[in-house]
Amino acid sequence: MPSMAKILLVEDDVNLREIYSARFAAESYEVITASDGEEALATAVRERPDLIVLDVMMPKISGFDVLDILRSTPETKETKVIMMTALSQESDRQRGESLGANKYLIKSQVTLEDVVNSVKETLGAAK
Amino acid sequence: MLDQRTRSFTILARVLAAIGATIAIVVFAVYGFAPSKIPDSTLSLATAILGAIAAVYFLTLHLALKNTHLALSTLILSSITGVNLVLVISSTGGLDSPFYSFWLLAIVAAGIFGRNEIIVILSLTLVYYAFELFHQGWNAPYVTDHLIQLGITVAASALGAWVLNRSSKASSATSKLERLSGQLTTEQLKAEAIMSSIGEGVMVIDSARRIQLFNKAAQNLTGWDESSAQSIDYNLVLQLKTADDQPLTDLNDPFAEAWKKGREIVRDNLVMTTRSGHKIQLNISVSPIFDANAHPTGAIALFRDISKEKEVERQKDEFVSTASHEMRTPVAAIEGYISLAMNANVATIDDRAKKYLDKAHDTIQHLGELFRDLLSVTKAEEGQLGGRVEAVNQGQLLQSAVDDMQFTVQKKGLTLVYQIGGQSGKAIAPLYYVAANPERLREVIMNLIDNAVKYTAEGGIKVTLEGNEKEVTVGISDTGAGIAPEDAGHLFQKFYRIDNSATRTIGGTGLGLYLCRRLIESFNGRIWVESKPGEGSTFKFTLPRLTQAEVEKMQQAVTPAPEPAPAATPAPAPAPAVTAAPETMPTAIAMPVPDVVGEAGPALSPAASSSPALSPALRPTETSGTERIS
Repeated sequence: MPSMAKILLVEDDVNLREIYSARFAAESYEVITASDGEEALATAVRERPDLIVLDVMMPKISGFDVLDILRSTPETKETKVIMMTALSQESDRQRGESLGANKYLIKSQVTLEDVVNSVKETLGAAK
Repeated sequence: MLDQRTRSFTILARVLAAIGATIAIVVFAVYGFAPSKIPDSTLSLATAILGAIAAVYFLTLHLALKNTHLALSTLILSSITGVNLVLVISSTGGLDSPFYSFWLLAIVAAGIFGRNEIIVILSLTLVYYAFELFHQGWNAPYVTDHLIQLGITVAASALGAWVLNRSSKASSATSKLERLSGQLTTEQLKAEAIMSSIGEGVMVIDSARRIQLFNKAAQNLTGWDESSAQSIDYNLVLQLKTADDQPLTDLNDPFAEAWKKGREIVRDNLVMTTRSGHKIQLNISVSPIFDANAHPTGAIALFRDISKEKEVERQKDEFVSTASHEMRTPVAAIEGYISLAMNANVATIDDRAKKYLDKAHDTIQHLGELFRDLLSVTKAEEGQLGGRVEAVNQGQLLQSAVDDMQFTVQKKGLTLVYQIGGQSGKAIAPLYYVAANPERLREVIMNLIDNAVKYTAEGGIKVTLEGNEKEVTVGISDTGAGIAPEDAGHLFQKFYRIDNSATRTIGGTGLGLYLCRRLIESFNGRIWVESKPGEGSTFKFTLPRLTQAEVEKMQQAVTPAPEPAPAATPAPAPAPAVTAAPETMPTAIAMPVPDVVGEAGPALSPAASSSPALSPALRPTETSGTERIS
């Protein structure tokens, strides 16, 4: 079981941020958070997380743009990214994957436990 | 238009008046110039006076009466002349009088008035005969001499009757014609009144597509007045395009389709450009007109402006969509917090609180489910529900769905069997491929199995797969209460829920089957239910079967951009094409699978497979959790 891996949670909704943080913390991950795209990019470069859980629908910079910048930045090029979105359209999924997301989760279709499992698996595959 | 009878009377009256006047003038003239030439002065005078009376009557009373009582007035005139004639005949030798021939004419003329008049005049004549013969003492030579004359008299009356018959026939034909033409005019006026008062645009075109009729509303809608629209090609007036501003083709032109299919075609997704360049959303129904040989001879089109309705509909959908979206975030938060509270790694609560939170969690899950279904419905209305279509192995998909549902079914003490083909002994399943989006199709299957579980108290659920060259049919049978025939037709409607004690206790949104129908229809299939109350129900859906060639073509189209297994399921290997390995398909995609939903939920779940502290009775999620990873 991977432990002490560092996860950056990017989510603009304060409640969901708290819920995911608490749940990830319960799995003994180190959790840092960002509430928008700009903050996410700055934190990602500074903290070098093992995994970024990235909400797509955010004010200012969207998750897609954040991912695009992450992939073109040397420090974060290899960082694992799980995208989370309310958008269930096929085209959006394809966009996320073509931009280099390791996983693309649709919020209404997955449970909190699915997210945790996805995190474990993505991190597990990295090691 | 004068009818035959009127004309006859008019002519007869004129003739009689002329005869009367002639007699009077001649007699009075002779009186004036050569009084000595008058043979019988009393008789001549009487004849002249009666002739004059007839003429005067014609010029005075007859003129006044002829418009209202033509027949009566002519009868009076005829009587005057008749009396005159009788006078002449009786004083010039009775039956032997040369004037008797005029009497024969009178009998024929009586036919103009009618049968009764002929009978009267003939009877009078016969009485006169009897009187004359009696007067002559019935001597044989006299009787014999006058028998031919009697025959001619009777023949004359027969001729009169023929005149009568003919004239009445003609007149009835004429009056029928008149009545019809009157009716036609009335009908025409009525039709015009209806046309102009109809709120919908009405347009009638002929076989050359020229406009024959164009009512007031049509003029108002199109901006073309009737005289400019008349007789020109309807395409110039009714400028139709598709909703995305593309010109119509033979495939989507309602007129072409109406002629081709020979029935009424209704469209509500066309846009018309008016004469002034405005665009309006149109609802149009086109009915073809055929002649006796079934050749199209034109069409009738009814159309109306539905721009406002469309706008209202759009706003409604937008509202529902926005509302569901907005409300889902707080719902997800509530659900998440409850999950955290119930996770022993995060919070500590007592058993009682756990029990209440468990119930709160179920409730909030139902709410989330409702929002999700509402969103799906909105998407369905916008026609973007189906998703990407590929070749799906129906048998494999069913097998994996059945496997996933086994746990839920067994937990309720029911059985779930999967059977391919008509007989259960058939072991080798033919490959039934259909064109569908595998995730969506799976949703439908799971939804149907889940419904069967929900409404079945004891017994079992049977999933069947059958097919022929053209179709693949899936059946999901239960041993539940069954569905009343009056409900069966409504089951697949939006928000329809059968109102009985069972449905009141079993949660649902009333949208599941509606969504199933929309999805199946979007894959060109159909869905229905066969049920007998008390014996259970069988939900069936049919999809067109793909040929091997079609399957290969579709799989090739998919291969260059492999569709990864939806993210909910961590794929054990780099995501292969879903069709090739349906078992890697997600089990937790948005499906109303309450038992899975009830424990793992569509959005967030309280339990972790890795939280051993949870009471298994409260949180039997472990299984579904592991299922998902497997």
